[in-house]
Amino acid sequence: MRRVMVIDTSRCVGCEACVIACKNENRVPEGKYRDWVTQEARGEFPNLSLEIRSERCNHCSDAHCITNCPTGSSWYNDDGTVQIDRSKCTGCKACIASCPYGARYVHPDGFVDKCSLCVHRLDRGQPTACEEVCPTGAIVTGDADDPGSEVARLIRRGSLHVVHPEAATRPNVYYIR
Amino acid sequence: MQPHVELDSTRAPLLETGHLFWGWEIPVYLFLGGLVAGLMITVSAVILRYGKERVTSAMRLGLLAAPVLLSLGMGALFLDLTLKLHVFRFYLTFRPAAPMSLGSWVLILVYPVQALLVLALPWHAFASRLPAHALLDRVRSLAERLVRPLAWAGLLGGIALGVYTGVLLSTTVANPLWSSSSLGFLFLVSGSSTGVAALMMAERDHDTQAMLARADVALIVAELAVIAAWIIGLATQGPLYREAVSVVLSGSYAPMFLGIVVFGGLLVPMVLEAMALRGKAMHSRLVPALVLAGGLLLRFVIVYAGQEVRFFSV
Repeated sequence: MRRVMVIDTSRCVGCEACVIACKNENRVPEGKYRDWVTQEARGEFPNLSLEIRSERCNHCSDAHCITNCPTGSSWYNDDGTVQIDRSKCTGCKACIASCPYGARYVHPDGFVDKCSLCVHRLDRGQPTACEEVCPTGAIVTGDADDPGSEVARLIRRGSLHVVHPEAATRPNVYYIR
Repeated sequence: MQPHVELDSTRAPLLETGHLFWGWEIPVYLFLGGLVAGLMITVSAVILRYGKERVTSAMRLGLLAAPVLLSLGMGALFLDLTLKLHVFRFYLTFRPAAPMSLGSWVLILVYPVQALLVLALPWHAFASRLPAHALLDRVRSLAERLVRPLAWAGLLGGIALGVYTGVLLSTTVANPLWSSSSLGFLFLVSGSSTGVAALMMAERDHDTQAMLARADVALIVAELAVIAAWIIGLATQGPLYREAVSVVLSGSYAPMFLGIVVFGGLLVPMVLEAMALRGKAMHSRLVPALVLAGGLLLRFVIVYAGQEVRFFSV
């Protein structure tokens, strides 16, 4: 199983409901974010294009945060997602220094925190908090190894990209242009 | 032509105020770790090259200070941890691919080497205060017989410690300024140079002072070359890396880096030491003090400036 997230940027309206839903579901402290919305405007007037992306931890297959974690606190789950074992975290911040996406932050309680892809919900058969609340259905989560899944269908359709491919981390959050 | 790109994000206001994750504790630790590595490398090299008769009391004092300085550095590292009670987790696992895990084991392994070297070559004021104890005497006579293997262990341990302080930064690929294999060499050479400088501060013997000055000039020349390799290597990698380098060459950290680190901490002491070696200037404590200050500031500049430019901007 390889859990991935596919986000259709042509559907995203940048309402930030995913940010609020995540904060609510995962009790993300004030001033910190597990997910956020980026608006990228390209070109010169009148030839402009706008891409709105809901961004988060990319649950990379080559995660530098896991390689550089000195205690094994960051680890790959069976479904390929990157998880944090709070009981092993020392707060050394090597993972924060290693993340090309800035997805990690120090929780006020001392440990490092980030998006968990809501595995606690996925394991119960529920969608992630951000997927559930998205009013335009732009966010889809599922098993990329299952050819019948919605994410597999979207990946097959193509026109996908990832954020900062030059970081060579093999991200598992895909964006449809 | 590069397309014009404008970014905005939910967390933009948060990131505009800075995204500093490592503060003063890290450069202080990197400096003390490098200094201790330099002390171990220098004294071990003197033993291996000239024999233990050439080890002066200043070098013995340096050996005695090494574990104290290293402990201060580890104390700074400890202060940086946000979950201090979990510090024991470093020693419940060994992850060779993670430089911080490797480094925490190197830190523990160099202590016994330092202790045995101190026992083999004790500083006189310290030796007279050592209690007479049967076990201690046996360890001491063993260490005295094993001075050469211990010196090899000190040399290798010092090199591992010195290189690791730089590799720690360079494996964190998310920070373009640190994304260079030169950093390991830079921190090794700079650490060695500060170790030699610290010994020069305490050295009284004129011939040894001159020997240390010769070594320091060579190390400073090597350090300048590695800094050039680091800057040129990054500047030719792409726009993001050029932006990262510009922070230390023309940005907010340029006066500190070019003015104090490169000019005041490397070029000036190099010229003064070279002149002193030719008899055109006096050997002065000012010169090693400049090298030490430059070494400390180099680490502050690299750690802080490296956090200015990252892969993500909003």
